[in-house]
Amino acid sequence: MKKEFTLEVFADNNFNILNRMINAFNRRRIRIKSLTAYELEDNRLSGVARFILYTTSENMRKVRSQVEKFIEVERTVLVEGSAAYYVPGKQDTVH
Amino acid sequence: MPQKDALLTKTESVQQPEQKITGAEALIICLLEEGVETIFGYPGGAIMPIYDALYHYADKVTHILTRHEQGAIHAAQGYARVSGRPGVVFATSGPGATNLVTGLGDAMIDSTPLVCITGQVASHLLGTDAFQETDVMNITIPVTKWNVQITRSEEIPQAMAKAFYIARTGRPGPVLVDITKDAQFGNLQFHYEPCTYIRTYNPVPVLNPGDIELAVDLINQANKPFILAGQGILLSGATAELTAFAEKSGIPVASTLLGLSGFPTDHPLYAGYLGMHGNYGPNKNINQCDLVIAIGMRFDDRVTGDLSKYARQAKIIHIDIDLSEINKNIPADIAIHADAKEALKALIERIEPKQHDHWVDSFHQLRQQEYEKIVAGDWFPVSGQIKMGEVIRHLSELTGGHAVIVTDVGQHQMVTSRYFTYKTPRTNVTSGGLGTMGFALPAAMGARLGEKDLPVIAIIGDGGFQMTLQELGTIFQYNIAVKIVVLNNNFLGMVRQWQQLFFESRYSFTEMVNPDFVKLVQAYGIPAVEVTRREELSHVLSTMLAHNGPYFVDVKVEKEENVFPMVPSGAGVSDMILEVKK
Repeated sequence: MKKEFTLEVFADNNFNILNRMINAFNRRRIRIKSLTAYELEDNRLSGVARFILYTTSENMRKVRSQVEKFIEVERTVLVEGSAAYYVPGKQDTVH
Repeated sequence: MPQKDALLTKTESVQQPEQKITGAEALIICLLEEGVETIFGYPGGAIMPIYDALYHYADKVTHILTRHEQGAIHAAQGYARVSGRPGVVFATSGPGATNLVTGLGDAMIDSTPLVCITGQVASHLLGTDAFQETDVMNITIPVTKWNVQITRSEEIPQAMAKAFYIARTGRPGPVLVDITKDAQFGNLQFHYEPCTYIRTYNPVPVLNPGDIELAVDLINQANKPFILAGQGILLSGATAELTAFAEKSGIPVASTLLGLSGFPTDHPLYAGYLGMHGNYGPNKNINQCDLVIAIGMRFDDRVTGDLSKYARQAKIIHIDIDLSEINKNIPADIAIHADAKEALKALIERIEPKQHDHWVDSFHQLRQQEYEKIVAGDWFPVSGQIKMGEVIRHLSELTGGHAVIVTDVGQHQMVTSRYFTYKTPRTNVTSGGLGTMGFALPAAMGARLGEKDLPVIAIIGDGGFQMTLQELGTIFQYNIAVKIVVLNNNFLGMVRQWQQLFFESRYSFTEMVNPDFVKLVQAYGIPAVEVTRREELSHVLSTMLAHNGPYFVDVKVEKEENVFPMVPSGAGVSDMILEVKK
């Protein structure tokens, strides 16, 4: 059963790392409902990308492991659901 | 520029303080610092400064000019697979870079360390659709372990050090370094420091002793344990440890396609080769064993067939250096995230010596069934055209199993993997995960340059041979002593086999009308012969092996031969068939 997950990825902010993450989700046809990415204020070489993804638990576990493998990725934090970050809007009507 | 003047631009010593060199020259010196001896490449506009720098270092590094960038990268793969050192590739921007993509994909899925250098348009032209500009970075993201674009010459040494470190450590893979033309022309004060650490990258996981203890308990208790050995054994240099582990525990060993040569195929505990066209015993017994010990392998779909019918009764110990492979396809009861060699050493110390004679014997019985139904007919046919299996039997006997065998993709690849007696580690070079037709000829060139002591034999189908045969020009120019055996059935044999078995013999565009390969190869100055008669086969192959230099043999094989046994697509491995039921 598909559901929402919030995945935060902490990574060195090299060119292309965001594309690498998005590719990992696209490859498994995982829908990205929301994406926020920013540099850290105290260290501009690092950043965070926060994805709200809509997929199965199994796919989420596997893709997380593949994202963690990227050279620039330091760690990820996964939370089930999106309540903390996501205000439902028109996107909810897309299935 | 006259040669004399050009040579004046070579920097005699980069150790002097304040001395500046070009980015292009810095790149070449970085390669020398990393111990690179051979580069495979093809020049073009955007990489010309690097080629100009290379001109001055021709006495220190060998550059092989291939006939296509795909040839260069497959050659680098062959070089890396036999030597264990990263293969190095040069290509220009645009089409030069996009021609590398197949090889990058192949190296990515087959864990082959490569460092590919691509030229790029000058940084002020990026994104402008300039001549031969393409977005190499985005194109290669899915097929590289890491890629980086350099726009300032000062970045070159550090990026190159990282590239080599990433390519060869952990689970190896291809890395691409894209360098803009202005970065190649620009000056820098050179200093090289090999990379040994990246904050966010942990290539060598720490072995967890608790996992080892749990695994030891399962191994000691098992009655029908079974080792599945993948390429991780070869990549971590754990072949001796695998043999010691198998012999102490008495556990039979099966190899994946890429794991071949990691365990001697003539060892009494060798159970066979896994997969869709693998041996009968290991495929049948995977659903009889009570413990699977998977080492450096990833449970590819060509190994498992239908996952819901794969080893459901067995406990699974999965050892892999790549955490994302564990629990990806088959859930592990014990996950050991570690280098294969380190894990095996720890296991060998703690396991009890055992024998599993009855269990090992069950493999021998299945092997006997396979021999009677299939192998005997493949090895010793009495009539009809030459069969692929007998060619491989001859090659195995004539070389004593001491040769590097490079295969392409298709029926000949499966037959070779089943029948060649691999005795020496890193002597099996093939395109496994990506299944790249056209891989073998250039990969064999690279293998020849990476392995000087053993003969290198490329075994190729007539389809794959014609995908990269322009590399005959490279073989000729550099006199690369590759032995080329084309098993020629004038068909895309594996696709035809599937059409016969699963598409009611509708041979849709799989028959090939081929040119005279012998004349073609002779035009490249390479000795070439054709074999059509069984009685000539052994003599011709002996002549080929004895010849000092490249040699080509076109073996006309049975036109509609099928490779058995076979796990039908989508079926469970236990449903492996030895023949077609009529």
